[in-house]
Amino acid sequence: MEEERELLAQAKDGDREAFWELASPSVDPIYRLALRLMRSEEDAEDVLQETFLKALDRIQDFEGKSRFNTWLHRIAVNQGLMKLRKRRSDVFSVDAPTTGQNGEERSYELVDFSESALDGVVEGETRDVLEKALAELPIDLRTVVVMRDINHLSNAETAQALELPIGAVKWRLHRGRTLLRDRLSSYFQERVGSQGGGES
Amino acid sequence: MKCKDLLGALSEYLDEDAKRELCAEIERHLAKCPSCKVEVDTMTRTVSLMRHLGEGRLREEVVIRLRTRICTRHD
Repeated sequence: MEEERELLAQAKDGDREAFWELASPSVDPIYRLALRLMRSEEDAEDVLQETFLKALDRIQDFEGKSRFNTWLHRIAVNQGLMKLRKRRSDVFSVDAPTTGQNGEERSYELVDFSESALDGVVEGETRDVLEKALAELPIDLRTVVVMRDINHLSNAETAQALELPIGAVKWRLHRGRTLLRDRLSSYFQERVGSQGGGES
Repeated sequence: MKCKDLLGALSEYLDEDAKRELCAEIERHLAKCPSCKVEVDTMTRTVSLMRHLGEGRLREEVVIRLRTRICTRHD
């Protein structure tokens, strides 16, 4: 944190190398977020560039109340959403109650795939299923899941980046994870079904 | 603890934010409730698979393009 403060002071004095040193650890996470928001490599690179250039232009506004990485996530989400609004191709969901909230009992059988996905290694096909399921999540859930589970921001940092109460972050995370898990469960169910089909 | 209570505390448990007493209560429940065990195991696996999606690095040329734009941007 001390090093971050020093680099920030230098970056505010116009030192581009200091800015890069401060910002470059966030390049991969911001691209990962942008890619899942935009669902296109080209747009994700645009969002990445716009995010870093905006941060550079507005460096004087950053007061250091959050980590620099969290601030960049916030800018990236805003840039991404702005681009999507212009494109008008994404439907923005709201936190309207849907099925499967906390505490709700499950009305269907869940397939136990916890041992099927080999030792935590994402096999190609499982990875594709998961990426597709993630891409299909409503954008508000997707954003939180990416920040928490892919980019490892804490609930508090995610809440700060999205200007949301922590409770809303937790709810979106739970809802998003549940939808992803349900999609994986159906995928493994289909796989087990197709493997067992010819044996009788 | 009932199944419904466990589902309500699941995210905290997965993120290791749950207090020790709550964890103990959840684990006692899991020992005797196979359907909640599947619930927890599959959610744990989902989160772990998600974490693997973060692996891999951005192409070097994209990073170079970005760095160049930052260093050559006019004030």
